[in-house]
Amino acid sequence: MFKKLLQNKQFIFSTILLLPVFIVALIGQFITPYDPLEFNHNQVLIKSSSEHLLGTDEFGRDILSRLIVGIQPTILVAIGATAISLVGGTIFGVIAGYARGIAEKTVMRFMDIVLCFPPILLALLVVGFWGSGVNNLMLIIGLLYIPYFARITHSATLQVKSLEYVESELSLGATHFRVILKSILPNITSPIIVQASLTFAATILLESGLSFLGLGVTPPAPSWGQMIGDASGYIHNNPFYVIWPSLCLGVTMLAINLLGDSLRDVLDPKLKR
Amino acid sequence: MSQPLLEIKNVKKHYQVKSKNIFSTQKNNVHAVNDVSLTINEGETYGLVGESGCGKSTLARVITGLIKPDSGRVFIDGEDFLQLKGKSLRDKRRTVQMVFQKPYESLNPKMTIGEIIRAPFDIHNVYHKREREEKVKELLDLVGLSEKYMSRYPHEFSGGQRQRIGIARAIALHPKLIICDEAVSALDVSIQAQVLNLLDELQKEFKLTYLFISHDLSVVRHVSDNIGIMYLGEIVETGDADTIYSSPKHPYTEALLSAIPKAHPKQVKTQKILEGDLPSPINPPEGCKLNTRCPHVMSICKTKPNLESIKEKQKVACYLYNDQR
Repeated sequence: MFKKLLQNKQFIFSTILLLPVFIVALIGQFITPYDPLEFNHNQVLIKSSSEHLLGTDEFGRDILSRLIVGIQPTILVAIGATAISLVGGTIFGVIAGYARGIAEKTVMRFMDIVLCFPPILLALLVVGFWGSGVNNLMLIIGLLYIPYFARITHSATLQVKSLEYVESELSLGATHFRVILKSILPNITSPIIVQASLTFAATILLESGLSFLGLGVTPPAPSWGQMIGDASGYIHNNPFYVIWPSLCLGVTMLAINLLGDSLRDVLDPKLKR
Repeated sequence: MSQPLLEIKNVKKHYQVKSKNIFSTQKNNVHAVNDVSLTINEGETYGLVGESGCGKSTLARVITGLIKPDSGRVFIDGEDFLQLKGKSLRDKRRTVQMVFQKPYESLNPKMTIGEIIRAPFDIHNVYHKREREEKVKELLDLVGLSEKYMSRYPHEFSGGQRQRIGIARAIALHPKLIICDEAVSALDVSIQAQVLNLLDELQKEFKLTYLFISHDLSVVRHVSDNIGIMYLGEIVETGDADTIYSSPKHPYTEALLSAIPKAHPKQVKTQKILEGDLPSPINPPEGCKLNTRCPHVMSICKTKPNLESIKEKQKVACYLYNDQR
C-alpha cells in the first residue's frame, strides 16, 4: 500500500505542500519573527518590506507572524473535529449496518435529518448558544460531520457483512463484537480514510468560515479565516493583507483535497470511475 | 447401520418480499426451503443436488445456525440444535463446520493465513497460545500446504489453495459434520479432483460426515453415499446414490440425470428435456412443484405428494410410484 502511494505523483505533491503546514502548526510559536499580538501604531497597514516580510495589519501587527500562529487553531479544530466525527460516525454506521432492522432505520433517518441542514447554518446556531472557542468549535463541527461517516461506514458494512468470511466467523460461533472488530472494521478502513481526508478539508473550511464571521477563534488570537474577515475591510488600503491568508487557506485546501483524491485512487480503486 | 448424526425435520424457511406500488404494498413469500426432512448417518457423505435457487444453500445455513428457520427442527447428535442457547450453542457449533463456495470471498483479506486458521481456537479458547501455532502448522500440513505460508495473506493464493485453507479452518475443531456448500464448483476440474481427494482422505482419517451440496451431478456421484434431489425448496427424491443414478424415478431426477454429458461419443444420449422454465419461488405451483413442467402430469398432482419409500434405499415424492392415487 505504501509503495503504491509513493508511486502516486499527486500524493507526493500534496504531501510536500502539506508537510510545512503541519510543521509550522506544531512549532509556530517559536519561529515567529515578531509577537503576533503586539500592537505597533507607527507601522499600520504597510506593504511588504524587509522589516515586515508580508506587511502589517490595521494595528501594526506582523502579518507573517500572525499567519504562522494562525495555523494552529485551524489545524487543531480540524484534527479534533475529524477525529470526533470519524469515531462517532463509524460507531453509528457499523452498528446500523450490522444490526439492521429498527436500529438501522432510527440511526440512519436521524443522520438524514442532520444532513438536511447546511453545516454552516447549524454551526452558527450552536455557536450562538454555546459561544465560540477552539474546544466548542471542535465538538460542534465534529458532531456535524458524524452523518457523513455514518453513511459511508453503513454502506461499507452492509457490503462486507454479506461476504462469506463474515458468515464463516459467525458459523464458528464468534461473538458479534469479534466479528465487527476482526472482520468488518479492517475491511472498511479504505473508505473511512478517504472520507477522513475529505472531512479534514471541509472542517478547515467550516472553521475558517465561522472565524470569518467572527464566531470562531476568540480575538486577538489569530486564525486564517478571522484574518481574512478583518482584512476584507482594508482591501483598498492594503490588498496584500487579504491576499496572504487567502492564499495560505487556498493552497492548504487544494493540497488536502489532492491528498484525499490520491488516497482514494490508491485505497479505493473501485470509486475512481 | 450407523447412528444418524444429523436429522432435519420439516424445516421451512420463507422470505418475505415486498412489492410496492403507489397504492398498496403486497407481501409475498419466497419459499426458499419448504418442509424438508432428511437424515444423515455418521460417516457417510450425503450429496444434495438441485438447480441454483432451489434452496440448497439456505438449508445449509439453517443447519449451521446462520439462519433461523420458520419452523422445523434440526437434531445434531440427537440434540435439538435450534433450542440451544449461549454456551451450549457455541459448543454445539463446533460439531458442524462449513466449507464455503467462493474461495475468493470466504477468507478475510486482512488476516494472515495463520490468523484465519487459528480463529476457531481463538473463538472457542482452546489450547494455549503457543500450542495454537503448532496446531495451525499441523492443519496446514494436513491439507497439503507448507507452514511457511502462515504469515501470508489470502490474495497471494490460488483458488485451490484458498479452498484448502478453508478446509483447514473447518476441520480445526474436529467437527463431526462438514457442510461443503458448492465447495469445488468455483475451481478448475483438475483442482476439483485434488480438493475432492483431500476431502476423501480427511474423511477417512477423522471419520467425518459430509453434507455435500452441489449442482454438479458427476461430482456428487463420485463422492456421495446417499443423495437427495431438491426442486424449488423440496426434496423430490432421496436414497442410495447408485440406485438413484442407475434408476431414477422422479421425472425431475430423470431429466436432471439425462443432462449429464456422456464421456464417450458413441454412447447414445437420450435426453429428457423438461418443458418450460423454473417457476418463480414466490408463487410456486400448488401440489407437486413440478406439475407445470412434468410430462406425466395427472390431475392428482395438484395435491402435494409425500416422500415415500418405493425400494429399500429409495424414496420418491411422486404419484407415479405412489399408491395414494
